[in-house]
Amino acid sequence: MSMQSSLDPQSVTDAKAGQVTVPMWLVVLLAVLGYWGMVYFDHHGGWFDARVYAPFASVSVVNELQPVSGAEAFVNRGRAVYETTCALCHGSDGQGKPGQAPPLAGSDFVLGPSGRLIRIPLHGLTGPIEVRGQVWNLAMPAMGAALSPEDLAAALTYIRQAWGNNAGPISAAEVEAVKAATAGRTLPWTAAELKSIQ
Amino acid sequence: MKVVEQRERPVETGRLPMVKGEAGQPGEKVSGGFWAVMGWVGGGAFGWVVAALLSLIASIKFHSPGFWADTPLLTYGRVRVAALQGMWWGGAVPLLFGAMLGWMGRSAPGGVRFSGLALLGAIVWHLGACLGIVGVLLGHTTGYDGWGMPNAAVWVCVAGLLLFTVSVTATFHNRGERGLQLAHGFLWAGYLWLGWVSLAAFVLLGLQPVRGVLQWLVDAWYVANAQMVAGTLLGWGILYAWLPVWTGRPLYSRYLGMMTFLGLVMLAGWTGVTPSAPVPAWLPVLATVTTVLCIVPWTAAWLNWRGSVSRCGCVLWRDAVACFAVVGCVAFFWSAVGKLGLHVPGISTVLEFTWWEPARHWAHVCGFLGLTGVAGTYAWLRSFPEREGRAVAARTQFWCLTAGLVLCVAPLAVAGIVQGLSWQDPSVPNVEVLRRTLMWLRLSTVGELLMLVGWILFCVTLSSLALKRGRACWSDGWRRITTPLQEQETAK
Repeated sequence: MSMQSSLDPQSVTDAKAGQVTVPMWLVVLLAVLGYWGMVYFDHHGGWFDARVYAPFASVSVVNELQPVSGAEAFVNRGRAVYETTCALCHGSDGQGKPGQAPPLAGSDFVLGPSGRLIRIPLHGLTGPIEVRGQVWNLAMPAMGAALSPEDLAAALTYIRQAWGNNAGPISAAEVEAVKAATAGRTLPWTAAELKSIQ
Repeated sequence: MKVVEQRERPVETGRLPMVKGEAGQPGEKVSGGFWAVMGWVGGGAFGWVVAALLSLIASIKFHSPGFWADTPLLTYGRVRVAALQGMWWGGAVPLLFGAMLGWMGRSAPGGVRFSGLALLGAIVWHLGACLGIVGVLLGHTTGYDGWGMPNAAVWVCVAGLLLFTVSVTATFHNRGERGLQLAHGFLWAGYLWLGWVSLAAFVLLGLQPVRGVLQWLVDAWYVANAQMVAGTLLGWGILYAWLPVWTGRPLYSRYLGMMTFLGLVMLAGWTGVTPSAPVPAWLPVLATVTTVLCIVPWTAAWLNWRGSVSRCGCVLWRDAVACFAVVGCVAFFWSAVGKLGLHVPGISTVLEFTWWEPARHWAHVCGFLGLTGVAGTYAWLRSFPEREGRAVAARTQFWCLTAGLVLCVAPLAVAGIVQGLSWQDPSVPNVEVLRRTLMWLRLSTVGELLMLVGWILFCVTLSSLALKRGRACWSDGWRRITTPLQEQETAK
């Protein structure tokens, strides 16, 4: 037996090729995969931006997640505090919950003087209160008493500027000033007391 | 001239006359360049033996860290890199170049042109590869996973490559039939592509190294281009060159071949970046998209292969030479599936950074490129009378390499899946993950041992053929020297 077999190596000397055309399904497959590739790249590729790394999809997503400075950062911090401390009763959308807590969006107590709003989380609120034409008769504990002045100020600023509210920010210094002014108080506030504060 | 006229007859006639040399002996026509081609493929075979041996040592050290632990030359980090570099520079590339030169010489009247230069090029190249492997073992590697050759060795290899270029270009120019075949395009594109990506990698990683993560990026780019584009083009070029000879009919489709060619050239070079690479998102996403798009050229190659070997698959399998190509082709498609697994979203999270990638690498480099090179070499050697009686050795070598490849690739792939699935559970400690893969790694070591035996057999076969040829040349020369002069010659 030798390496020479029934296939004579010299019988065909040239590597000719036939003329069979490419099957249409392969062309369709190419088109489908090409389309998928474009969509996939569009959704995940970040459009060649050197700042976008996986798993983020675009530079706008990355920018949203970047740490910001100044007022925006303060509001973002306030949103985080609100989501963990207040949203359970007042709702993430600030519309309140029936039988549980009045809305914060459009509330006079929120949009009014800052000293009035700061007092509510510091000592709580009890008795009837009218918000957006509806009377609520509930008791709110001093949810903000344990927060730092910065966190409380940030949360209150967020409340005053979210969901269409458009009131000025509250600073940590203002919170500390109110704290100092009401240091001896142990009872929650009533609506009448709060309305007297300008 | 007579030979050229015979070659220009249409191949559709099925059975062309035998190509005979002037003396009427089959193979004498192509004997010009025997030593040049033998220099490349013989050195390549030896390179495979060295690489397989180093790889086996690395594999054993993985199970038994104390094995030659006191020998600085043979630490795992050095041996593994030396094996990978030796496999590529010492084994796969020279073997493919030799097969390419052999086929081109076969289709040129007078055989290989400037065969002395090609032989010198082979010697210089192998010297460079040796320098590289020794340099890596001595600790002078570059530190890159793909581009690991020391600079000095690269310079030597470049010199060998230039000499080879002169010879192969002249041989190509001297071809009997002026029309270009599909195989010409694949072989030349693969050769030139390998040249330019290697040059670019040498400049960017060896001479003027880039900094930071760009180093890894360039290295990944080089590996993808060298193996997935250049290597694949060379491998398929060899297959397309010899398939008509083995099957006795033309290739199935020129257009499918062109689709494979264009797809590989345009897409495969972008597939190097792994999905979780620490680079901007568009790079791994682009790699994923191009890898998935590579399904098209891979499918085209499959269709072309299937159409070309239809109704003669069994004949090919029984053929002592073509069977190497069959297994090489299967290994290629397996490695293509393996590559897809590394990039398809969802699956890649399991398979990335596991033994799956080494399995794919083995299938592509050792399976596809290695076995295709062997098939091309043996097909070329059939033109020579020294081949007689070598079928048993070739068959033994075939079964050793095939069994070794299966035993190496399949367990590594399973180990990769086991490893990836285990890592999905954070409660499983890493030591436990390693323990689960250990049995599969041991099996792959057995596969590497079998492959080493196969490459040794290949080396021995080529050596004995060369010895036979050398002895015949010596006898012929001696006969000519000692033959008494004829009267006419004396008169002259």
